Amino acid sequence: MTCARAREAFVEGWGREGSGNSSVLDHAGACPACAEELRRLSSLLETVSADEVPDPGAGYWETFAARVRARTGEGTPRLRRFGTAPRLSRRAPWIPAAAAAAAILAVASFWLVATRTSVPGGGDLATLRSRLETNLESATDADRTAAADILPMMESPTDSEAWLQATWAPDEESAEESLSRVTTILSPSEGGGLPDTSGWAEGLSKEQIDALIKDLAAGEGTGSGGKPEAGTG
Amino acid sequence: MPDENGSPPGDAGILDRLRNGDRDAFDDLVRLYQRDVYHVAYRLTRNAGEADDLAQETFLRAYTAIDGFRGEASLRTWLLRIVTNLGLNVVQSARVARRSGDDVEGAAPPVPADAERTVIESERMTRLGPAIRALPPKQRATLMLRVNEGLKFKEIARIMGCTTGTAKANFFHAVAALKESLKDFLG
Repeated sequence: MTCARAREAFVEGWGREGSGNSSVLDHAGACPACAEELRRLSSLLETVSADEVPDPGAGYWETFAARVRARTGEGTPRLRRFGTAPRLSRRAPWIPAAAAAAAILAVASFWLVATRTSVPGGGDLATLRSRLETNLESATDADRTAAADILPMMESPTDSEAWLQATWAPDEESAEESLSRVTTILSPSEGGGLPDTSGWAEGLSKEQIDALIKDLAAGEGTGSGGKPEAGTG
Repeated sequence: MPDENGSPPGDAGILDRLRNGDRDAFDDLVRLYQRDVYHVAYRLTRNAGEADDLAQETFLRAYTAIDGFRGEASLRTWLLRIVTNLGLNVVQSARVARRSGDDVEGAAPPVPADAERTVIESERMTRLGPAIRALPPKQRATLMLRVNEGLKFKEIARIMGCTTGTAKANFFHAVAALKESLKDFLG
């Protein structure tokens, strides 16, 4: 078990049976860094879980249903048989899917070149681009929307190396999962990387993206963490 | 024992009664889940008045939409999805900020004093509220659903309308931010 997987498994199981599963404990026993990290993580999660909601009092709960009923009128809702109701409509994507896809490609390429970081597990910029394109072709609208949701997170400084290790598992996941994870690895490194990447690529066309990637791959990116010009191509 | 959708046994009974026009069934549904819904509303808004509004609005939406409830998730998950989405709208529209003077975190009824709680623990809890409020709304919601409501990431993804990977990413970003905010108090 890797350090990243041990930490993920710990969080997935936290608060339930299995949070102390033997694989995680075995790993922590042999890895002082993870043992310390899991201890701090546990402390944090326990603190959050201890954050109590002030109880509004027994009177509040006793009258709550009546107050709701008063607002609904006296009618009683009737259920149709399951399966006859229309699906709930999906919320509109935060930004158009195509723009999100373009942003992912462009930012990934820029990030890799700017930080001179190879794709974890081997590969290079072309490998990542190919993989991203394949994933995006098979991704659902929801995944593209999810990708768009993640892009703003890139404004938050995080430890990108840790995220790379924690989120990249190209041989073990579906295209959907991979797409989601790939968007996650785009977080800029603390104190450098891309300080504001959440919106700059949204309006670019595929041709512009291709040109940008070509330029970046040739080493003509800013490499300084600055925001590239949208019209590079 | 929960069924294959994770629904508790009470769900089926309530749904059957609603289907049969039982006038009290919806009240029972409200009573069964009112605390869960209110707690999520409060944790999102950190405001008792907003939480009350959100909780009532959640059940009103459920009342009008239950005709379309298909039973793919438990009633609890369905209600938590409604209240989470409503709460995110409230937080994102900064309504809470405009009303922050009436019942913000610092003025909320305090956690009952614990004589054995250390100064560091007290300080940690004091710092926690502002640190959570500072999180982006989706990260705040994800953290709360995982830690306080005990939901799996798959359930959180269903509630938030995102992928499991996105839910995990939101969670770990929230954890990273809180670790930074509370680094002096985590021992």
